[in-house]
Amino acid sequence: MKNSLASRLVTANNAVPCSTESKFSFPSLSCDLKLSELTCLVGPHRAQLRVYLLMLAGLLKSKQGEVCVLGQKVCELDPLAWQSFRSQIGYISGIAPSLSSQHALMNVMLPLLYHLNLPFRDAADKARALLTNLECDFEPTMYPAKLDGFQRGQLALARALILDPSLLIMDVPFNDLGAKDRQKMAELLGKHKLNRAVCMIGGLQYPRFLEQHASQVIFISEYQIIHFNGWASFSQSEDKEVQALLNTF
Amino acid sequence: MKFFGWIGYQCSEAFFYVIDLTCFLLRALSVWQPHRKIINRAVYSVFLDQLILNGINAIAIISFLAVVVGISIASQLVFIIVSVTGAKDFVEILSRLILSEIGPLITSVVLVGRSCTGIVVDLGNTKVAGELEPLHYSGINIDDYVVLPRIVCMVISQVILALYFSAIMLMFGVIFSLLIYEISAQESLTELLNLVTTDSLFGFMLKNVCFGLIIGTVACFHGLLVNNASIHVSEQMQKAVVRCIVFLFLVDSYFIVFTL
Repeated sequence: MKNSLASRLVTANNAVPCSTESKFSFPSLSCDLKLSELTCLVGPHRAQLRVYLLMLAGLLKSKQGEVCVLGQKVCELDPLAWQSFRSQIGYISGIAPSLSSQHALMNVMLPLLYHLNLPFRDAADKARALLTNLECDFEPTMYPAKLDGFQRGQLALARALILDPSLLIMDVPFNDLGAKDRQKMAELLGKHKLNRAVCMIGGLQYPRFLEQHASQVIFISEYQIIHFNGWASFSQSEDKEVQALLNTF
Repeated sequence: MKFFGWIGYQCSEAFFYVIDLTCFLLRALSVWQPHRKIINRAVYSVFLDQLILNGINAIAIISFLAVVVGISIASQLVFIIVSVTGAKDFVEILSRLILSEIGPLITSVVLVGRSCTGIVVDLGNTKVAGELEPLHYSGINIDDYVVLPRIVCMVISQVILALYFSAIMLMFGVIFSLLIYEISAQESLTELLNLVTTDSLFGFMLKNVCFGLIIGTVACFHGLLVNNASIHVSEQMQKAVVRCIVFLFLVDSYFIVFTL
């Protein structure tokens, strides 16, 4: 019982996000994000999915219901606690992966320097080791603008993983990648989802990744939320909205 | 009636702008709280970058301007002063004009043209590319990592560059004047050093700190006001430059009234 509670890193109970996106209605969401499991939010409106993703990541308050992230109610945290709480959550954005004014190594070192205040040399060694582990074949002193889409994705993943977070949030990680790069990125993400809970949006850009790794697919539209235990049950759903979404891919 | 409405609208806009700017500065400064580590290495690296960019890289142009302005304006001033007072209070008048007015003002105008625009473009483009959100989501405080180092560096750069500018300008102005008029160099320099009191130094520092705060705050404020379109970058840059200059002259006028 205790183990099962500990493995639930995020718990949402009838939660409705408090959002400024007024053009959508937000049905209440109940779900658990568990250790070593990947949850993908899918639906016809990415902006709406992003609001739910931010709520599950503890970045957006819920106006109804309750969301516990890593055992904490986010709205009760003071700014200092919030800052250290956030360091346990990795965030990848496929749209804006890293700071263009800093080179790749500094981008990866940044969370170490900011949150742990490690000496520059130690932070650089750690960042280099992670970049090697992620099979990055570019010079660490290159600026993000000089990297291709996949390399930028690797860099974003490195920055998100450098503090070894227990929760990883991925906002369209396959964005701007070609077919081959999506496959390579999927392999990389698959390797690093162990020992942490992963929640993502934009999974339908590469359905094979969901097929292999998703333990939970949550379909969210303006009118309903449907939970599926993995890709197989999602793809076989007879719900009209789900079918319409699948037909677009 | 429309005209008065427009005046009222502009006044209320200006009032709310000043309130916003003050809140922005106070929020950025509130990062320094007792729990905060004095040297956060991530912030320190940005601080060094900004110090090099805004301060050290500006030394060349400031030196050149100081020599040129020193020779042209200071020698003109000396000519006028000598003609009017007969070289009686020429050092005092010169130091008062250069140290309290020309030095800080020209330095701040150079920093507005050089660094204020740079900060607005830098922050604006970062904002347009959406690079700040992931930082915030990773628990990195934007005020701490982005805003405060820029403001602090601007204050330090303004104080040091203004001091440097005034010293060079004064030196070249006096040297050039000595070549033309028969004034004793030793006497002039001794008198100049005697004029540097704690009060005058404090006034000089305070004025430059205010100028630095204005340039840094307005630049960061407008840089972060950019919405998700690159056209807003140039729009905000123009606003930042104009408002910086207006605020600088307003604060300068306040200091003139205060010190007279």
